[in-house]
Amino acid sequence: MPDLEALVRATRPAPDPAWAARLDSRAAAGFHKDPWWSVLRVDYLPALAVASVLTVLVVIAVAWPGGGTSNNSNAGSSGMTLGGGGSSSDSASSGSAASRAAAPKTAAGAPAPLESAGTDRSVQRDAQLTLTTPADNVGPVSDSALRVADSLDGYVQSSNVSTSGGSAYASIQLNVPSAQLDQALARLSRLAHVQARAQTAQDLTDQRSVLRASVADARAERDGLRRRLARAETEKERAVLRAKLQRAEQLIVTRQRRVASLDHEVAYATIDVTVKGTHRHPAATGGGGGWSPGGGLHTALRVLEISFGVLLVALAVCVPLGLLAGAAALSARLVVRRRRERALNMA
Amino acid sequence: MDRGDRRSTGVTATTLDVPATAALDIDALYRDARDDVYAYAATLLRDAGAAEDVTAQAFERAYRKRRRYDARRGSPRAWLFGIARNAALDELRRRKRAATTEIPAPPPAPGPDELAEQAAQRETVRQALARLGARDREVIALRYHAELSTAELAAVLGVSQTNAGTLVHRAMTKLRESLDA
Repeated sequence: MPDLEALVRATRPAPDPAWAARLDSRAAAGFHKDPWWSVLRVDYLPALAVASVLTVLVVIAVAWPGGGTSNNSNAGSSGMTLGGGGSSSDSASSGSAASRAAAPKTAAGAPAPLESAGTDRSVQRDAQLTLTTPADNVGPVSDSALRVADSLDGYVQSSNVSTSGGSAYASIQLNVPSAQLDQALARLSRLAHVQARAQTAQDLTDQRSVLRASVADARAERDGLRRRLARAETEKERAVLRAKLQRAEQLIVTRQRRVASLDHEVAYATIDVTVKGTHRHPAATGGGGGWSPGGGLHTALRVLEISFGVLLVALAVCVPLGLLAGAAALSARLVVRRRRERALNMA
Repeated sequence: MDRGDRRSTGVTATTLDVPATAALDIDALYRDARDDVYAYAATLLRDAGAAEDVTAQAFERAYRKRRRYDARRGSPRAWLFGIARNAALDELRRRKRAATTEIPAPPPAPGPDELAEQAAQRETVRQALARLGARDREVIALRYHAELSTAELAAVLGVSQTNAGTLVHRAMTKLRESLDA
């Protein structure tokens, strides 16, 4: 037999020309296969980028101290929905801001009892607000809270600021017109980081109606006694009627006071503000809206500190997972290689 | 036969969208090795259809992984045949049984002047080759059908060059014994 190598070469299989032509055309296209991310069309990329940026901004706005992430709003027993706070600048300054307690306005100057729009409901509204700020900022924040009440035609029912060592604490009870409650809460919430916030509402419409009816009944009784007194003929009868008339007058006054008290409760909302002093500066802009380079530096360091912590946690999770994944990939490659060799042996 | 004569013929494809890299001209590699890869796969698998699939798959993988090619680890042909070998062995793993036991035939007789005796000898060699074990068949296919150098063969099989030469010698000896039997 002639040269075996030449004969082996002569047995070289040749591909089918039609198949070869098809493969050529696939090669011309670079054996192109769309990767999985090709579903994200280029047209949509700007919109996706904008959406991503907006999402990040929203997250930052919500997470930023004072942004109200910790707000807890609870509806009152009446089940009425309480709206969010309005927007207003905290530029108002009252001359009586320094006073820690001011007398309520007179009945003539008091706002009308809050009655829900479109109905004659009388609703008593209350709120509790807990603010946190650096300990040395508790005083200024408390002063600002008082100014908020003054600027909204409200008043301070009580105020107590205590400072000992490095800690500080303030408890303030404000009364503001019920119609101004949302605005007051919004402005108070901007004074410092909001740790907790709650609102309650109680419908006093029926109670108020009953009280007013009792006043009318007492007046009717008084008028009847007056008429009977005018017609009385004996001195003894007039004495008895005068005594009854006096009791009726007292009853009217008592019931009118209860109505007025109820109207006041409806007209003014009570806000319990608690200001807690912290050892750390929660934000450069916290505590009355002031900004200082020191505060900014502190915030920057804090952000770095948190970022480093997050990075450490991520590494603690990712490194073992990465090692496991690497080991698994290596093992898989070895297994596949062995299976291939076995397939070759068995063929 | 000269090695240059064994290269793929009739290849007209050119890649349009794939930028050529300095390290690897995948388009030139395709033109150079298309028929060689097919010949290797057909000899190993003894199935023309499977060989076509494996060849297409090998080039598809090569195009996809072309940026991972490292010239320090071997020639482009060795790299390509490494991929083709994996694809062929994967095909062997998938197969429950061999589709055929015949190695696809070479092109038809080149001309009327070819002697019938030579054609008969070629057919005898082809049948003897088909009777060899897959490992020996693979070595012969890589060496004489794909025209890999000893160094390239060693790189594809993952053995030393000396060992590769030995493997070729043993396979040819077995083929000769099969012919003599």
